Amino acid sequence: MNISKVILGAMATLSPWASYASGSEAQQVDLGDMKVVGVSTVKAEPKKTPAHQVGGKSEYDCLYEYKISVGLGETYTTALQIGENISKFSDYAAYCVDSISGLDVVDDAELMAAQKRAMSSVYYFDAAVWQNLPEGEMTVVQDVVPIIMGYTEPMGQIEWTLLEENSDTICGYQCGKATANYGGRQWTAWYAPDIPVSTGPWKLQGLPGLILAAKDSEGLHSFSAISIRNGGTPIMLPEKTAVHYSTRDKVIKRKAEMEAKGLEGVDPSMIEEITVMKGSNDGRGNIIINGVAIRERPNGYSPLETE
Amino acid sequence: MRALTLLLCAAAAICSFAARTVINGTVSDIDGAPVAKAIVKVWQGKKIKAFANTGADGGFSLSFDVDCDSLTVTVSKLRYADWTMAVPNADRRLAVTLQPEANQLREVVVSAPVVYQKGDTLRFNLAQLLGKGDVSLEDALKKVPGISVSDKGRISYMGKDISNFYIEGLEMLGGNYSLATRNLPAEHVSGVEVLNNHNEAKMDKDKLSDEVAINVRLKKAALLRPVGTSDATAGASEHKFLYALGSTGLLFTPKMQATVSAKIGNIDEFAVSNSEAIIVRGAGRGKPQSLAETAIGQLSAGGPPLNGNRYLDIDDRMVSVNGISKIGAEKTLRLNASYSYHRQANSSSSSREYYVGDDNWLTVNNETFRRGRVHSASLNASYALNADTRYVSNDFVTMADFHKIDMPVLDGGQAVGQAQKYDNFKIADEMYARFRVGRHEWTSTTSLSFERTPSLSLMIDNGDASMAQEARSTTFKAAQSLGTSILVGRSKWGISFGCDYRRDLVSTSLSRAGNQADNDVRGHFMQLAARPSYQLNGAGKRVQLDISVLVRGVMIKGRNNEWKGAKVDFCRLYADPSLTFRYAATSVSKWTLASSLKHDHGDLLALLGNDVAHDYRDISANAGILARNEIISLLGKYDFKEPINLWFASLSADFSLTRRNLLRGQYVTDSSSSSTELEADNRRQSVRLGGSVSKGVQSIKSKFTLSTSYSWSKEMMSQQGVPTTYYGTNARVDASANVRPLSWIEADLSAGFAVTGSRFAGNRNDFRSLDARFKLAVFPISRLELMAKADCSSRQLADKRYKRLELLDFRATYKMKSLRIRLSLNNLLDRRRYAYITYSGLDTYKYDYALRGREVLFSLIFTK
Repeated sequence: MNISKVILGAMATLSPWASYASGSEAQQVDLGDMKVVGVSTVKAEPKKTPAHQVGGKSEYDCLYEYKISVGLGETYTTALQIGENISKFSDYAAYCVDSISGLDVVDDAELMAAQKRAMSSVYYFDAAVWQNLPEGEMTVVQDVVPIIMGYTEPMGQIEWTLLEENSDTICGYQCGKATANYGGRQWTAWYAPDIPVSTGPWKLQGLPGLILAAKDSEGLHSFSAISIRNGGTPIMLPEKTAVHYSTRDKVIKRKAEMEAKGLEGVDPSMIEEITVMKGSNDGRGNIIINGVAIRERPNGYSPLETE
Repeated sequence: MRALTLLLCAAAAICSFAARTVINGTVSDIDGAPVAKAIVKVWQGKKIKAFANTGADGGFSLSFDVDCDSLTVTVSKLRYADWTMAVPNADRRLAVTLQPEANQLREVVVSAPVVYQKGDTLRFNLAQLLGKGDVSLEDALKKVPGISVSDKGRISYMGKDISNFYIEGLEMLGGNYSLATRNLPAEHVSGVEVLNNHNEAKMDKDKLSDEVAINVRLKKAALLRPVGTSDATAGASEHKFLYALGSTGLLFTPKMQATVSAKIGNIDEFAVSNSEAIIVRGAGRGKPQSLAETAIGQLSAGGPPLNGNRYLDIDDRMVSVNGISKIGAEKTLRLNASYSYHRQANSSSSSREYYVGDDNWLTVNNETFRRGRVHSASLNASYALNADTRYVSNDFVTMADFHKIDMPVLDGGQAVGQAQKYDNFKIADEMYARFRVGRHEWTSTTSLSFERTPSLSLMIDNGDASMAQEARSTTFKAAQSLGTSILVGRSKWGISFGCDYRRDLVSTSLSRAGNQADNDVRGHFMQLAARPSYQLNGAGKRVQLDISVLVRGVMIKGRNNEWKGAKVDFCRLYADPSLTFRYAATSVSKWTLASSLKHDHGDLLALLGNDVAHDYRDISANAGILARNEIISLLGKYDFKEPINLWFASLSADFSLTRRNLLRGQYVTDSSSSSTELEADNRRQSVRLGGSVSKGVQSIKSKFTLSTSYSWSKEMMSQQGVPTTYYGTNARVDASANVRPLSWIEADLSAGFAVTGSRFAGNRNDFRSLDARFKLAVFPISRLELMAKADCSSRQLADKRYKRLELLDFRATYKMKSLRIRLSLNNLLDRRRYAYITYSGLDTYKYDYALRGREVLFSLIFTK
């Protein structure tokens, strides 16, 4: 059986008529000869995330708007947690989940609501980057439906050229300007020498100050800081057992293939669980395979790095 | 030679190598522990020449090439004080000890962007756009790039009127949203969202649309407690006491919104604008306007392009109660009730020049004194279920208007009395339902309406030529349509069927000395229609193609019992195709191309073959021939939006060609003018080009807008029984700027220049007009606003003869928390006349209006 048929079957359960007809919270779907542990129809009740290790607390948190100028435009809200030794960059919804998880007393309902938002958002930055984890390297974890893949790569590979021209003020900080090539794109970055950390959004780092804005030469991708605030939020480390580690090239290639082929690119044998969330995503519903949400790409997939 | 070259190169390389400076060292804290990830920078003046991070052992090494004698080395690290040392430009080893410092990073900075784009939604952060003098939401909306707010409070975005106005996602006030925008304090609003590609029905959310809506987001502090504005004003003009009292309360909760407003005053017009019928779909749409009112018309003296409070003697009262409640996750119930009373009076003189052929003109001069009053009441109840797969709504509306107008005229020194009185009643209901089941979508619309004017009287006291015109009418309308569509991939195929029925009764009676002219028209209209349609939606809402053909059979039957043999027996089949193509080329640009062919026809009023009087001069008698029009329209539009950089621009061009079977015209004599109709094929062509650009400059908190338009038309009309072709042109440029270069000053400047022309039978007229409006507000202290406003116009009345007018106002406002104390001085220069010129067909109308004189007003305004 083709995986797309499975998904279409699952999507059919999103119809209100189907749910009224079933009248149950969970149902068995005929999947032929495919091995599927369970398919459930739930009303916005994602499963709990397995407990993560905490890599200390952030000293400062910087929120960025990440924009992709494609189609009618896409805007993501992302967060960089700046710790003493490591920093983590992720989607704002994931950052909220981490913040709630790190509280001394966790409100399950609030956590579930935050997880639901993370799962259902169309514009969700589906990668997380830990800089200086392990020491001198970056760890990148990326959703590649139906699994989560990860890799590490050395830091310090970006050779920035500092430009001497006067630059803009961003979030009240006078910034310097620098350019570099990375991941097949030419980046221009604005960094604040008054904030003495060499980190920045996504994998961009290595400048003498926090990178507050960056954009590529095509104007396709851009990051822009919108808020800098005191930290104190837990920097959750990647969950070791849930991530399939590979090399950078393989993960980038696999991600591009998956996004190009869509559901056709999902290997049925890798599906262990499909969750269909009703009433989320502005009513469109969501499909989550093995805990990894399928993201709608209204304007197609535009990778940050091409090589 | 080669050896020498190699030697020189080697020497240069050695020199170059020798010129590089190397600075290395270690960074540790006061306990001697190495500090990792500290940033070491080498500065030449204000430029960073080299930098490095310390390793885990606190060590660093920098190698650089700098042509100078001395440098500065800094070491910085979060939670430590910066370390700085001036060093000579030479190799050196440094041992740096950092001192701990609790708060090295200065106070946390939060900077929200002015505009935030997410898909089709632009969210403007109002706090960054507000000026010191902005109090109401309307004040704030005027600062949003791309948004314009008219003097009457209508909001448009990129030149297009908004289709819906929501507050926290609920549409309480429909088209009467100025009640909220003028009374909701801007300080309670966190953001304004412009919803592009807006579809009111959630089930249409993936479809491209031309509609734009606005959603207002409130701060949490504004929820669950009443907010609003109350004001009291007293003042005086030359010989009149001026006053205004008003209070508007608004309450917003997650599930319910309500507003109550009551106002009374004789300074500004508010009754009509604040009690306009809520936007109701289908048969209930619009104010009641019966056939009797259409047949006779309303006594009117026109109006200059000025706000009513410049030239009208006003007396207004208004009560409005509105509420909307969420009665389920997707269901809302809305109730709107209003009563208003509006009285206005003004005087004007006019000079009307009628072309009577052979380069001859007939000039009619008169002076008009108009007093009109209208009581209006309306009640509207709407239910809506707006879900992802179904949309159901029911709109019920009932309205009544009671009009009384006195308009005596001095015509050539002779006094003519004119008095009109009529009432309109309307009751209507429309039920609309759409369902989507799988790929199929089903639509049903049922509407009923009943409108009646039980009596309309127009009394004209003109000596021997006195007249009494009576009229009454009743109209009943019923419509039912059913439609279905199916989604196949990205294509949607649909077909709908509709049946419309209308029954009209209209009678008129004109009594003149020794003469009686009556009409008694009865008839009905029926239409059976089918509309096959095709829609293609491209990926990501980038492309949309709509094609449809409306095929309809129209039957109109009617007779005039008072005009022997006069009847209409009209039966015809029409096919009206339309095509619309929308293409979002990039994230910032969008193209729209549309074309259509439409047919329309006149109504049973064509059977008013016996005389009907409209005013003391204008009497008409129709030919009994039903008008038929065929309209071809072409439209092209380009929109450019780069909201992040606050750039907005649009260009549009449209062309229309109308083929008509009736040639309309007039026959003018010294004492009367009559509308005429000749059965003769003729056509009207028109072209319009327009463009606008708006740019926000945040560094000086300013917004600049430039718009321009040009229109050209050609048509034919009958003047004194002679068909005459005339050409009309209008070219216009408007520019406006809102500038706030400093926190204590704000300037608004708008100017418009227009050239209007007409050409016919060897005559050519071109008239120019320039209007400029300037407003300057200064804040010598933060609580005090001093504002001066000037309206200037220069209008050409004849060749090389211009009429200039300057109107100057002053206002001082002192703010004490929620209370504002205001002193207003209106029309400081005490200007008393305003003259302007307009064209209608071959006629030229020159008006001269009396203005209100100098006024002093004192107000207390409480906004909380």
